[in-house]
Amino acid sequence: MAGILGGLAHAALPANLLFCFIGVALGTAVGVLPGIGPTATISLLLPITFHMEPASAVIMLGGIYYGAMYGGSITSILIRVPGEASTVITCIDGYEMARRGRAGPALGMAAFSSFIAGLIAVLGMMIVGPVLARAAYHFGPVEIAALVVLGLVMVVMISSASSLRAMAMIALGLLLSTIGQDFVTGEERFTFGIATLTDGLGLAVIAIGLFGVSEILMLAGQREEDRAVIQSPRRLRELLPNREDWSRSGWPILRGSFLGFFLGLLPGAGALVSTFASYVLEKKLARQPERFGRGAIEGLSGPEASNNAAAQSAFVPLLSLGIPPNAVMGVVLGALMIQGIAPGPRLATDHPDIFWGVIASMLFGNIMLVILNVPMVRLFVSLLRVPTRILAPCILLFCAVGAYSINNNMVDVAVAMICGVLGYVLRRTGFDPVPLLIAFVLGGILEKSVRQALLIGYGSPYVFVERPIALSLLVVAVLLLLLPLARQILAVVQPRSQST
Amino acid sequence: MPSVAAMGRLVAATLVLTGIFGAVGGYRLGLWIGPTPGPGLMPFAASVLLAAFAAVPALGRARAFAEDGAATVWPRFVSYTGAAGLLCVAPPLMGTTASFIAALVLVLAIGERISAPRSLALSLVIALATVALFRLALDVPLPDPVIDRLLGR
Amino acid sequence: MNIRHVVSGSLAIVTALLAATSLAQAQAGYPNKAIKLVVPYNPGGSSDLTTRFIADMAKDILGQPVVVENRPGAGGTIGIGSVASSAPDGYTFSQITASPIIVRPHVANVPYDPRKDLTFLGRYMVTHAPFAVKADSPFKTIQDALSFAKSNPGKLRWAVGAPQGGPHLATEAMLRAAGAQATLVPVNGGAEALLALMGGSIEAVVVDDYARPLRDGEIRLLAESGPVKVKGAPNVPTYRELGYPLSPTIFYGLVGPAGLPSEVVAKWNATLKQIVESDKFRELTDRINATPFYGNSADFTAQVKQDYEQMGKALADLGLAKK
Repeated sequence: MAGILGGLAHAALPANLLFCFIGVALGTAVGVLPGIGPTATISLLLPITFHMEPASAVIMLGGIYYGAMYGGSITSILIRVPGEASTVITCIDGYEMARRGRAGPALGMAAFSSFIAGLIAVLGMMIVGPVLARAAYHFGPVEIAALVVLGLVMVVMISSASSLRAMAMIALGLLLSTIGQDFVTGEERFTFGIATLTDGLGLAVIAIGLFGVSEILMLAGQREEDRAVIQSPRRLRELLPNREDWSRSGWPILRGSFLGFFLGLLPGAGALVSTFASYVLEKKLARQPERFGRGAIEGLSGPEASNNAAAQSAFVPLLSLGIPPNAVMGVVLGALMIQGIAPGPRLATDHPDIFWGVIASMLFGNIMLVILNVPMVRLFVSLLRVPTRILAPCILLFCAVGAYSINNNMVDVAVAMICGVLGYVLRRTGFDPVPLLIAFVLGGILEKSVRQALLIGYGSPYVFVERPIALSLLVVAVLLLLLPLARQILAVVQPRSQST
Repeated sequence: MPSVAAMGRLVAATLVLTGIFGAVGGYRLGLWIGPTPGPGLMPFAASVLLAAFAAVPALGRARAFAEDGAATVWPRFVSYTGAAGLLCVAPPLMGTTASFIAALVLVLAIGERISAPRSLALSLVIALATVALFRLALDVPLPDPVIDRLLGR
Repeated sequence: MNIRHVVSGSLAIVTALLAATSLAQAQAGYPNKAIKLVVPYNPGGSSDLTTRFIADMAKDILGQPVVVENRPGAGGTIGIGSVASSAPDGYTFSQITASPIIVRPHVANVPYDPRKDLTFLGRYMVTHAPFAVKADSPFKTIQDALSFAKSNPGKLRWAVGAPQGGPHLATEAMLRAAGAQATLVPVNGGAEALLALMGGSIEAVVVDDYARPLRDGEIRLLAESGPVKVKGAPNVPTYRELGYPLSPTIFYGLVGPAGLPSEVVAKWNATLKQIVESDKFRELTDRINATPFYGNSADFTAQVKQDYEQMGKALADLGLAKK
């Protein structure tokens, strides 16, 4: 408790508040730009942190990371180009809301749900964070594999309504995820001799193509009267979420925050996977799942909450185990190392100002972000007044620069454009690219963790039933698969039993 | 031009072929090494599923979609596709700025039927602003022999 | 606004820029413009940190901006390849580590020939990648681990931070030489390897980010894969001391394309020497558990050549080299 109060006091120092503000403002800005991610920005600022106090450095770098989660949703909503990989899912219903003239409420809800999730995550970190950090040790490849299986089952379930085409897209996503050097043997798979493909396709690159570029091509083919990108809202009241939006979003925000918080603690793509998980969960729980993909606000508020919560809880394994759960945290670890501080179990006692100061600073950072972002909604929405015939070419350019700047590589631009044409063709012929993308993300993790798990279990599949966490996750997955089947059997049995 | 419904069967058939190609590739990579899955198992399984699921729409009755009725504005569609292609190949050859200007002029003048001088002026402004933002302010090393010389790098 | 004004305005700006350029180019002497330093890895690792540090100091010594650029991919070979094929004018360099130079060309296709396409400017440090087990592990010495793996084939599970790197192959060579059979669990990076070790999924790791868990008493070092002893651990033997076939130096250095002018090489040798021998650089390497180890262009080239050939021979003997 003393640590938390000390941290609050440390984070509230004027200098630290200033660095926190610089961080979150920069983060929002780079979040808006596709391609330029927090990782690149943080490494660009590394030399500056050589001359800063360690706590201030991490407060600023951290602000960039979760600030990017706020900014990343802006382009997802306005032009269907994800600013960050973890806002890919926001492209679906966020953009559809904007097309229906509700860009303002979408942007507003993205900021508010991130804010609420941010607060929940900070509280979670203060109360249970350090204890839960140890949980990462119990979440080895076996448990991750079981978790991903559960995730895939849920994707299959929400797609089952839309027939074999969705299943084909899931299979295609899984296939695409295997492109690149094999994780175990190092053999090249479907790389066709292109060096860039050795590392596989990038999610952000594919998403820019499948969502952003394909949308531009759709617009290009449409007649003038059909293609007004977005109708701007007329009245101020339409700029912010209304009461119905809030009542629909309450539970999704809470569920998204918890999902994000817990998945963010795990190594791997926590923030990213949590957004998919939240979307799938909300669609499953919704009373009218058919609204999803047509501008359902729950499809935006849940995932937005989860990515911000995950971005913050990712600091827990870094600070209390010394293990960075993702690439951004890796750079933050580097910044701390340069300062002569090696985070680990002893950080909270050796340097309470850093440990608690960083966590407490997120409280202030989130307040700053919501103050910064909500007034901007009006400005961003007014950008949509630019006529389509000028906006659309600009977006195409933006997609190209965005794809390039992820790895400073021209091959990525070609991949994005090819995915754009692919996405266009698929959408025109009734194939939905969304399950493809989710399967692409899960497929990579699934293959890796299953193969790791089998090696750890000396080749025996019993490794999945010997571990209680993995076993219970798999049992839930099987139950979920059997549920519709059971319902069908009941539907067959019931009428008979009534007639007799 | 074929109808969208016919195109749907064509796409599904392509997916089936992709599945067959992937399955053969996966099989060749090896499905198992000793007791654990080999590099080919996942591609093989995904490909078989792909071919199986896509086979039904490929062989079954053609289906129409919501967008089916809408006529396609071909000149504009082709100009955008051309610009997308240009953005993939031109930057390393003629520089990012020149490629951006070329792609924008192509789309604006031909696709959107904006008058030539207006298109050129708009393209200059948009391309220079984009390059300035990403290259100067954000340090993204966009390939550009022309600008390199201008900046003395 | 009138369109004609926009066009003529843009033209005026272009002309002004052109004039400024010719002025800048008139200045003589190397360097007279910004230098690009490619890091062929992701941000945040030792390569990225040290290169940014060197760039920060070099900018003051050379009086020109030194811009760091990350071009990750394919184990560092994409970034190095981009520099190998650039103009040898002294304004484009790459940071390198040992693996993409002395190991990868033997086991995979890389877009350069390390013997022909690169100028080795200088070496700046070496790091360690020890073979480590959990602190409560029953293995007290490397022999314990090896004899366990010998009598229980496949039961020793281990992970390596950098797959296909020098420490990985050196450890494979040791296992084979000892007649031991172990299960390599592939992971992404040292952090994931340590996580698996601490979680009890595996028995041993070979990683370069061992220092923090070592300090906190979470792990125990059994041997060092490189030829230089781990700082502060004089009792931990190296693979070479144990008599195993491979013990490659894990070096960090700078390269440029082949055929760099000698004045550029001389300038960078002096600059790098000054940086590596500074107190600030020693402080940095202390913090990331590396050892500053300066080598000029001639020494570095000779060392790389020797390591490259030794590694090639050893990998061929082990049957690990590409056909």
